[in-house]
Amino acid sequence: MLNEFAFALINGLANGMAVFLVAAGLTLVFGILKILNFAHGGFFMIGAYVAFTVSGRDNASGFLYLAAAIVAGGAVAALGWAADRAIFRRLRQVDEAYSLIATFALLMVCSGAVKLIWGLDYRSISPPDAWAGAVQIGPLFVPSFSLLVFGLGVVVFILLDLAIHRMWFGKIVQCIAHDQWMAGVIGFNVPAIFTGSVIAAFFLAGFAGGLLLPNQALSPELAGSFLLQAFVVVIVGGLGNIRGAFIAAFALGVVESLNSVLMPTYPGFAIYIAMIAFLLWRPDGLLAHRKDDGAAAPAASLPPPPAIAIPPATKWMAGLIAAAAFLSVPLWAHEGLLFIAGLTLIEAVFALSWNLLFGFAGLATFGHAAFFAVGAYLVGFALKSALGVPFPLLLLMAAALGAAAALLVGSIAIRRTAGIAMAILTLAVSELVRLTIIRTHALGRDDGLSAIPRPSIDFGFAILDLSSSRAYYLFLFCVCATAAAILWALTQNHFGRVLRSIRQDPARTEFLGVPAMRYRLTAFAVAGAAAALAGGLQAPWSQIVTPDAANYLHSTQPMLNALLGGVDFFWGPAVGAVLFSALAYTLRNLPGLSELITGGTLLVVVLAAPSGILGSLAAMAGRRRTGPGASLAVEASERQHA
Amino acid sequence: MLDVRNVDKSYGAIDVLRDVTFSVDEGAAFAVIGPNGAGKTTLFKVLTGEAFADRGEIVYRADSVARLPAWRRIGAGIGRTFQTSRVFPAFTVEQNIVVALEARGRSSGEGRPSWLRIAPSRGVVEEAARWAGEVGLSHRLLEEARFLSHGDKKRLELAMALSLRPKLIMLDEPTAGMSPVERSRSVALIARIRREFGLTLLLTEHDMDVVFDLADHILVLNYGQVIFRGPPAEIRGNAAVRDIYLGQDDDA
Repeated sequence: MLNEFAFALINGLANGMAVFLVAAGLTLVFGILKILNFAHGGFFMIGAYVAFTVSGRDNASGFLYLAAAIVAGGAVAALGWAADRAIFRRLRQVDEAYSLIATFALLMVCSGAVKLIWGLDYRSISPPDAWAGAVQIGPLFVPSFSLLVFGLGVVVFILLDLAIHRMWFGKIVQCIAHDQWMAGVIGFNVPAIFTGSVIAAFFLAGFAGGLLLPNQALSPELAGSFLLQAFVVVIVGGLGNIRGAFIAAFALGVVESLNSVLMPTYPGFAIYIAMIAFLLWRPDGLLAHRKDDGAAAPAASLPPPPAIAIPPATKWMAGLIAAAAFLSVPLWAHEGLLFIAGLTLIEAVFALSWNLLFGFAGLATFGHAAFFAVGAYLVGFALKSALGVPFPLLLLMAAALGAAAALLVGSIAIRRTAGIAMAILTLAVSELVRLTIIRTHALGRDDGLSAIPRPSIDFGFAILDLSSSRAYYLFLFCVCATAAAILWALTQNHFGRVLRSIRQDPARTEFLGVPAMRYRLTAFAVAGAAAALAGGLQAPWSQIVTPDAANYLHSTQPMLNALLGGVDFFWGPAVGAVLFSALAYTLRNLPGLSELITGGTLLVVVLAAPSGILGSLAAMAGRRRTGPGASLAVEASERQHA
Repeated sequence: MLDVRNVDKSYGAIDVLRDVTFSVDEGAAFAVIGPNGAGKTTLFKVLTGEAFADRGEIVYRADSVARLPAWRRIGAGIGRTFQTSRVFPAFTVEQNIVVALEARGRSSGEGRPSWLRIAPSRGVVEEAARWAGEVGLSHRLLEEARFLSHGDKKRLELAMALSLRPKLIMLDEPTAGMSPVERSRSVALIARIRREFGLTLLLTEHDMDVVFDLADHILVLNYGQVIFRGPPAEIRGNAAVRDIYLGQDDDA
C-alpha cells in the first residue's frame, strides 16, 4: 500500500509539474495582459509540433531535445507577439466573457492551423536516450523522464520566482502590470517592457510544449489535454500569481495521486471536486490580492445594447420567413441536409438558453453542456430501454431534471462566485458530469448510447409515429418553436426586465427591493431546463448520445452561436446557430480549414462587431434611417460611455 | 423612526465606525457630515444593507433591520440614492422607473406583475410618467439613461427611489459634482418632495450650504465616532466641530 502510494505520488507530482510548466505561461500572460487565455493550449501545442519538427521522431540526444524546446519557445514567442499586436491589445477594454470567447476562437484557429500543417495523425515520441529508462529509488522503479519533468518544473519555478520577485526588471514588470499609465508617468518605457514580457510569457508556452513532447501522443487533441488542469492550477493559485500556481500544481499532483490510490475507478474526479470546494472557500484563489470590496463601483461591465432597435414589422417578417424556410426543408432537402437542419434547431434552442443567462442575466457559464447532456442521456436511456414513458412526458422530465441540476449548480455558483471563477466552476461541474457518464455502465461509458429508437406518441385516438426523419423533424420544429417562444416571452415580461436590470447593475437592482439572487437562480433553472430539453430532443434525432455532449467544447458552442448572432438580441443566438451550421456544412470536407475559418470568423466578430451580426445589421439600418450625422452622434456617445 | 445603537464596523484592523448611536425622528431631515474618511460612506452602507455591522442594533419602526439584506430593507420602506448616480444605462427614463414600480408592486404585494403579460401595465406606465414629471424629466421620458447629463441622472435616480414610496430616504451626497445652478435646483427639488410626500430624510453631503439649507438635524462623524449631534444652529458654536471640520475652511 505504502509503495503503491509512493509510486502514485511520484507520478502525480511529475504530472503536477508538467501542468505547472503549462500553467506558468498561462498565469504570466494573465498577470501581464489580464486575459485568461484559452488559446494557451493552442500555443502549447504549436510549441510541441515545432519541437517535433526540429528533433524528429526518434531523437536520442538530450541536447537536441533541449534545443528543440528552445526553438519551439522562440517560435511561439513570435506568434504570441503577433497575437498580442493583432488581438489581445484590443481585448483589454472588453468584458471578461468576450475576451475568454475571443481567445477560444484563437484556440480554434491554432488547432485548425496545426491540422493543416502537420495533419491529423497521432505520433508518439520517446524521450531522449539518457532519460528513457527508469531509476530505482528504494523498492520503486521510477521513469527517469518523470524525474526530469519534475526537476524542470522546480527549476523553471525557481527561475521565474527569482526573476519576478527578486530582480529589478521583475519589479518593473509588476509595476506595469499593475498600472500601465502610472508606470508611464514615472518614466518607464512601457511599450518596450510590455512587449518584452509578453514575448517571455509566450516563450514559456512554447518551451513547455517542447519539454513535454516525449511520452505522450502528439496530435491535434493535445491543445485540450493539459489546458483544463492548467486552468485549475492558475485559478486555484490566484490569477497571475506564479507562486500560487506552483503550490496549486503541487497540490494537484498530491490530489491526483490520492485519487488514483483511493478511488482508482474514478480517475480525475478528485481534482474537480477539490477545485470546486476550494473555489467556494476562496473564489479569488490562494495567493490573490484581496480586492477591496468595491461595492460603490458600478458593476456594469458589459457594453450596453445598441441604441437602434429593429422595427417590429421587420422582425415579424424575418421570423415568418425563417419559420417557413425551416418548415419547408423536408419538402426539398435530402436526408443529410434535413439532419443538419434538425440539429440546427436543437443548437438554436441550446444557444438561446445559454444567452438567457449571458445576454439577459449577465452570467457567463462555461458548463452549459452538462444540462444538455443530462437531458440527452435521460431521454436516450428511457427510449433505448423502452421504459414505456410517453415521449412528451419524457421531454418534460428531461426539462425538469435539467432545471433541478441547474438549480443545484446555480445555487452554489451564483452565490459564491462571479466572473472568471464562476466560468471555471461551471466548467468543472460539467467535467464532473462527463466523467460520471464515462464511468457509468448503464450510460454506455465512453461509447455512449447508440441505436436509440425514435418514439411514437399514443394519443389514445391516434398514434403519431415519429420514426421517419420527416415526421420527427416536424415534431422537432414544433417543440423548438414553442420552447423558443416561451424563452422569448420570459425575456420580454417583468421577469426579463428585471434580468436586464440585473445585468446592467446587480446591486442597483437589489436597491429597488428585488432579490437579484433569486431572479438569477430562476434564470439558471429556466436555462437548464431549456438546455436539457434540447438534449432530450437530440437523442432520438441523431439516435446516438456520446459523452461528448457534456464536453467543454460543446459548452462553447452556444457561446459562439450567441456571439456571432448578437448577444443583445433575443434571436441573435438562433441566427448564429444557423450561420454556424451553414458554415460547418459548407466546410465539412476540409478538416483544419473549417476550424481555421470558423475561429477566424468568430475572432473578427468579437473584435470588429461585438454586437454580432444582428447588431451590425441594426446599426446599418439605423444609419440609413437617420442619416450619417445622427448615427455618428449616437456612436460618439456610445464610445464615451464605454 | 430609525434608531442606530452602538454600531461598530471594522475592516481588518481599521475601526471605521465606533459605537455610533443616534436616532432619526419621523419627518426629520438628518444630515451626516464629517471630513473624508470619517466613516460616512460606511455608515450608509451599514444602514442600507450593503454591508453589515459587526456589532450594534439598527431599528427601523420597531423592527430590527441590522441583519436584513438590502432588498428587504427597501421593501420595508427605506429608500436610497447613490453618490455616483446609478441608473440602468441601457434603459430609457421610462423603463428605469417602470422597473422600480414593478419592483414595488412585487415587494408590497399590491400589484404583483404577471408572468403572462409582456408589456408593463398601463397603470405602471402612466405612473412612471408622473414620477418623471415630479423630478422634471417629462421631456426626456423615452431617452436612454446613458445619454442623460449628470444632473438629470441624479434626478432620475431620485424618481426611481421615490417611486418605491419610501418612508425614509437616504441620499448619499445628492449634489456631488453638480454645478451651482444644478445644485440649487436640486436642493429646491429635494425640499419640495420632502414636504409633499412627508419623507424622513437622511443625507450625507460635503457642501455645507446644502446641509444648512436642507437639514434640521446634524450628526458629525470623525474617525468613526460621533462628535456632535444637534440642530444646525448649535453646530456653528461647537468648538470641537470647528477644530476638526469647519476649521479647515472657515470661509465656507
